[in-house]
Amino acid sequence: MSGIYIHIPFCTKACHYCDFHFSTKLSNKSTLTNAICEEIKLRKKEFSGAFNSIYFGGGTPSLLTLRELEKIMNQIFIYVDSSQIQEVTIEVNPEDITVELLRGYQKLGINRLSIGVQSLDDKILSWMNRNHSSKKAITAINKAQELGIENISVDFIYGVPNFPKRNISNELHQLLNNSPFHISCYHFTIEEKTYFGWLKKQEKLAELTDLKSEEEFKLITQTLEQKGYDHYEISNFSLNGKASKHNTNYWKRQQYVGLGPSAHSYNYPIRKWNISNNAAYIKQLQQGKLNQEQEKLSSIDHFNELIMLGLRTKEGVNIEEALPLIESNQQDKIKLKIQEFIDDKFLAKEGPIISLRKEKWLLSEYVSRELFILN
Amino acid sequence: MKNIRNFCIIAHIDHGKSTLADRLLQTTGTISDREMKEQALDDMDLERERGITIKSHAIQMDYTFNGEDYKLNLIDTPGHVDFSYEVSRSIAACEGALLIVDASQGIEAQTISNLYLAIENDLEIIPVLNKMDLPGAMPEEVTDQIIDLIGCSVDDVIPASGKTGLGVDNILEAIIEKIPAPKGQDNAPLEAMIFDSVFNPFRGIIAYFRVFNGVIKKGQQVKFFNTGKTYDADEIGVLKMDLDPKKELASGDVGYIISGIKKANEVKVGDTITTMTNPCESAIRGFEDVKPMVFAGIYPVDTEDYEELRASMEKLQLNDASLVFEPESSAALGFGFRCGFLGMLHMEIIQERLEREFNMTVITTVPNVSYRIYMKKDLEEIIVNNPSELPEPSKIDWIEEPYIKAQVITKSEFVGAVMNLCIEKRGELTNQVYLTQDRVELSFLMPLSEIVFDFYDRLKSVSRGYASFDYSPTDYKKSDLIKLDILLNAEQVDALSALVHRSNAFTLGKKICLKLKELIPRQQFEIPVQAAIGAKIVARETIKALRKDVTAKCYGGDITRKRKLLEKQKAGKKRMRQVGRVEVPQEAFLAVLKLD
Ligand SMILES: Nc1nc2c(ncn2[C@@H]2O[C@H](COP(=O)(O)OP(=O)(O)O)[C@@H](O)[C@H]2O)c(=O)[nH]1
Ligand code: SF4
Ligand SMILES: [Mg+2]
Repeated sequence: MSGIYIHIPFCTKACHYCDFHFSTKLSNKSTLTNAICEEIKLRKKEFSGAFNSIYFGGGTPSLLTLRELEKIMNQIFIYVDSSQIQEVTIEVNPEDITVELLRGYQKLGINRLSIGVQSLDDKILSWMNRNHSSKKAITAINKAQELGIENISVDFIYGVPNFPKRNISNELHQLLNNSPFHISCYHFTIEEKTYFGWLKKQEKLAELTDLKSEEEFKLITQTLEQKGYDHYEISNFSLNGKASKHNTNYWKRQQYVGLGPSAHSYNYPIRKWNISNNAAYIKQLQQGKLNQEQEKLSSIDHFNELIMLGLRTKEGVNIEEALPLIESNQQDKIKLKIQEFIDDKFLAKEGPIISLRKEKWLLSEYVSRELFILN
Repeated sequence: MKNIRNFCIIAHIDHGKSTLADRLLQTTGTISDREMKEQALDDMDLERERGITIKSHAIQMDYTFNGEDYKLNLIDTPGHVDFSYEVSRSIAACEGALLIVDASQGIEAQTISNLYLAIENDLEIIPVLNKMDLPGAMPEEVTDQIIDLIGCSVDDVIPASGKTGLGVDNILEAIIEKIPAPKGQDNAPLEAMIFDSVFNPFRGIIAYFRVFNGVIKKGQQVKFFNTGKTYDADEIGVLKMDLDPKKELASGDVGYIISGIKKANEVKVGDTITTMTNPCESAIRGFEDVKPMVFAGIYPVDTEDYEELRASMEKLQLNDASLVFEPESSAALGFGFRCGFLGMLHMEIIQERLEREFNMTVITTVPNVSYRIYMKKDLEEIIVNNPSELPEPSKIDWIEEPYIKAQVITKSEFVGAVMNLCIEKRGELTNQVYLTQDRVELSFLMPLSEIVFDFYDRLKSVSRGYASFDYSPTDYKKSDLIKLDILLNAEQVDALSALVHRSNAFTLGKKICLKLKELIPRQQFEIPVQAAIGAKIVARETIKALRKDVTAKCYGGDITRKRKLLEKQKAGKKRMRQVGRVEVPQEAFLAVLKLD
């Protein structure tokens, strides 16, 4: 199945850890909405596949008005059969949530919310420069559930340095009172081009030790699994089979169409992406064109991506499908490596499927790198 | 012959030898301003970048003085103790030497030893006080040092600056007026001394020589005295900025010969060239077959590159006859070569040239000196150039290691620190002389193996850079040496073994383990790092298993970037060598050289 991603590149202020593409110049919102509609028209040929998901991400899509959202959706549904779409997700900031907005979303057919909670400790929220309080986050979840929006995902950050006394377990239990259908738990990272990245360069901030990360990861995993959550990807947990359809498409290397500044699109063997600059993007589309950069995946690239993405998920990689992508002498080397990781109890193998054991998920990139082939 | 002057330049590193040589080339019009690039004589990239002269260079300059035309042959010599034999032969090819001293620094150790070599060869010394343009120049003080050293008068010292050109004319005048013209008999049998050779991919080996007696003609059959080989002199000539072919060269001339020689080791620096038809009776004295002082294994990072490495080393040897190597194998590293070097700088240069000129990434194992092992049975003597070849200790009667005479010149405030360092390095103070109130020359007798380890860096740091160092080999001496082994993941890594003095073994073992722990990246399993003497573990560190190596998100927009990042990281790991199951980075093999 295929997905459509729409990048809404606006935020009211920058979180200190974030290196996504966004702008705080909100006055461009309506022109940008128009530009996205232009992009959809321009790329209408690409909507011929079987699409099951639409995802508004960002940035902060909840900054869009209902009219702006509607405009984009209507434009999409000119080319895409709306009855095939099973999941329509929007990322929302707790600060923006009102009953009116949520009702509007429901009318538009949006059936899944991804709420940026991050933490229920206000000290941490303000240290990260988030623009909402923990209370706002809980209220937002409550409101949505009261309105009958059940398919809710919350984002949660762990592995945060500088707060050795953080009570993760307590925060999790507060969240679990609402039994959200989906929880994404992301390990805190320090990205180079962010305020935290700058602090790190000044040696004023450092990542947690990996022992501590592992400890928190285990705590989260155990807590959520006890409550019946399915840990289906390194950072993702679902209840009642409500795994994200949209993201699962990525990991299964299905086709996706990305709209808006910085968005990536993929249709084997081509991956392409839009410019990461709002003004330049708008200008291009006002002139009726779209300049995308692209790469053509070689079969080795394809192999590497199968490994890299597969090892992040519970489903793993079908090695019999992957190996034919590379030359036979390379296959032999990789098979040996795989066996080594099986012996070391890193990988599990069932039939043709290899998967990273959950207790080793935090080493997924290490293992991927070992199994990569260089072009 | 009376209008020829042959001279070299003696200077400590950075005192301005190359810069002043540039000025001489420009003033004599040997090189036009347009062709001029800095350090014109240093033609290897590596020489220019590092600002050091590795090979000798020779160049002929034409100069008219008082209406007479002169040929001035400048022989530029390497400035590092590793190449002191080449320097000695270059000096032997000259009648005079410019002694260049940085007016802001004063006399250094290297200057003194080369100066004595020049005096020993009866060279006329022209003292030059360089860098006079610097505000920190101390002309009176440094002039006094020079006078003390060579016993000249104040007026003999020429103030100069390679930067501004000050004194260049005076230097040229002094070269002509003071340095004697060469002596020699054109009608005597040919006696020419080789002082260096270079490899040219189109012409083969080009040997540089100085004619002492007789005449050499193009096309003549010549013989190299010490190797006994004969050749046809296909081309002879003098060295300008390019080769300048001539029909004949006579006594006193400096020139080159191309004679179809393919192997660099047939051309030995110091050898005598003579003719077949009328050979000289004996060789020019001072010839030595230079012996390597430091040994180390060189291995390809990727075992599959062994043959390519061999080809590269053979090509490198064409250019550098002092590099010797033979195949060896290591349990840890597979097939490679045991190489002999003139010293530590030479070793570094070889490794760097392999990377730059041949694109070969190599692993250099812990360097060592050449040991003499005396066995209990029949007092048999064995030479060991590789610690892992050391016989069973119980069968050894005693071991001898090479010693050196070392000179350090430093400021008086650092004398204590330098002495402590040298004593820690098993040195024995033999002499202490105040050159001036503030500068002291310390002489030590110490094991060569100690300077193979971190000596230079330590000396630099204890003296805050104000120390210069020089040495010459003396004898072998009996020493209480034992083999220190290193185990990674419980497997002994022969490439990391070293022979060390018993008194140091524990501390050294501890330090090596710590350093390896720092340099070897964490892997999926815990890696013990141990130092052992025989079966006894004397130090242990643990490289903990890696616990986290993943980033949180990988959605549609992250995939390309992440894949490329992982690929790049993986490519970076190509410089690591798999030893058993442990991936060891290239630099870890030289860890013992950088202990703090
Ligand atoms: N101020 C000043 N600097 C000089 C002079 N001669 C050389 N230098 C600088 O000193 C450094 C070493 O010079 P170089 O000729 O490479 O020294 P070498 O190692 O003896 O060949 C370089 O940075 C030169 O630019 C001089 O007369 N005056
Ligand atoms: S709201 Fe989201 S996109 Fe915006 S800065 Fe914060 S983390 Fe980044
Ligand atoms: Mg130089």
